[in-house]
Amino acid sequence: MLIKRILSVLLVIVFALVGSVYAAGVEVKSVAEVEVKVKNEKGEFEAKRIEAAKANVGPGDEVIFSNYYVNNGDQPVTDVVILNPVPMHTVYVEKTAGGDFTKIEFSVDGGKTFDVPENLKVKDKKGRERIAKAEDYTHIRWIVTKPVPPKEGGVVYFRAKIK
Amino acid sequence: METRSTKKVLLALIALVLIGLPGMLLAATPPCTSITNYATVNFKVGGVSQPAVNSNTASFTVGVKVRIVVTNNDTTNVTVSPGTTKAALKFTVSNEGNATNDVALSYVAAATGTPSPYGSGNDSFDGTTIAIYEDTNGNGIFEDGTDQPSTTINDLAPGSSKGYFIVYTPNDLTQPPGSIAVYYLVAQAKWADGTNITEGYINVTDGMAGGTACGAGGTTVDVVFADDNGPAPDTYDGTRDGKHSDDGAYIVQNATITVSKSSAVYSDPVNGTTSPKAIPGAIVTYTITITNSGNANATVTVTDSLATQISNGYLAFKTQFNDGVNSCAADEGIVVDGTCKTNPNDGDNADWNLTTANTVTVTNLTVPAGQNKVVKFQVVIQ
Repeated sequence: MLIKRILSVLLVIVFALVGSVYAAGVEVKSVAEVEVKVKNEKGEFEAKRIEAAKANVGPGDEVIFSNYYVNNGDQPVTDVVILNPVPMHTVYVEKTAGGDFTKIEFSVDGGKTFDVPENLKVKDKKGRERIAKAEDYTHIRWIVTKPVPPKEGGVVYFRAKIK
Repeated sequence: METRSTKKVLLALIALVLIGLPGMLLAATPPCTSITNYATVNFKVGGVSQPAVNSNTASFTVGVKVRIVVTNNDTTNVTVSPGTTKAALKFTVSNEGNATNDVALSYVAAATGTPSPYGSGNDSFDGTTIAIYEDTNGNGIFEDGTDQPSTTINDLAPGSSKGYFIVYTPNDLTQPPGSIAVYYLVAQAKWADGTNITEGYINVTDGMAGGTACGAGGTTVDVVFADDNGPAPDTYDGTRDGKHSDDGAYIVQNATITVSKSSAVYSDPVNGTTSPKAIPGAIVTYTITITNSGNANATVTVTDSLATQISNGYLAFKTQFNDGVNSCAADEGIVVDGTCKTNPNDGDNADWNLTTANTVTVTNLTVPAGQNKVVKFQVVIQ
């Protein structure tokens, strides 16, 4: 319960910080961050996330994209599906998509069809089928597997590398 | 069947060419490119689908990654021999960053004692005449006259590479065989307009980054040196300083020839070949040994004049050689490396009294590195 409350507070903070997009029922906020190593007071290196727009991002760097969603309506919402195209100039980093109570699927055809990685196939230049690789993914979608009560929400995320 | 296999070979060749083609690295995202992300949410309320909701767009701008890589392509020490034949160390300079760069090239002679990257010893000398040449026709082979001296690369695009050589003209080389000279090729990245690059959060224009998304007026982005520390001392190339280096080495290849001559009485008219004495009529065998203690093969000419002794009436050349080991035919008075040679014909690279009067002449005698060759002839004491 406490964790949930903290998460809600955090979400409110995120929305307050970045400015929310209003819609009836559900709001979603997209954030791009990078992980940097900083020295703490003990002189140890620890990973810290900073906003990508304020960081130094170049080819080969990994960016963490997060989508915070919250139910701002007064009724529970169901069948929540969050869809995120893999940004241009980036490639999805294998096994980095996550989110509590979600089923994660990917598309290799521009978002027309989705499936789990082991079922995704692409054709090479000679027309031979092979299992799709992370760099073939064009879209990611998270199917939230439980209803979202009012004033609650969650976060779904993935990492992509700058080409 | 034949057509198909020919086609297969052809395809394989094309594939090889494509893979092996220099400058075909995966191109990086250009500087100042805006990367954006957004999500769309679909949901139901009370079992009824609601209109999809879009998130904000999270965006950021790609900075400048400066990374020039120098690679030495030799597989061993490059041999250099005294003379005018230029010797080349082979390098590739690649742009693994995301902006077009000019590159300034320089060479550095390694400190004495620096080990060769290819073994066989440590640096012990520096050449006098050294220059950097571009592999102008891009074939990976140094061709004097075709490849031209150059110390700057103009507009090296991201993902592309060019060949360069450190070239040594060894016209003053006096070092002994096996001596090593190590050299570094150092490449320093510059902006495409030729100005120096500094790290930081700065305004980058298309002119600087070489025609990108930065615009003529520029975009403020992070500029980062992402180069490794090459083998050159840090004064010339450290980590993340916009410079990179690699090393190659020369090894002196030269022949060192020594000659020794000995004589032994083979027979005399009184004792025959048993304990012969140097009395008139005695046959004396001269043995000339040519030794090559260097690390390069040598082709030598051997001459031994008997003119003085003959004119003084002390000796006469024996026209048919026989020392019990080599028993030659008539008119074969010279033995080279165990083979009888004719006196009046220099087509066999050996003659007596033909090239020069009263002189044994042996030509085109190859003495391999670390080996020796023996020339024998006989005289009769008068």
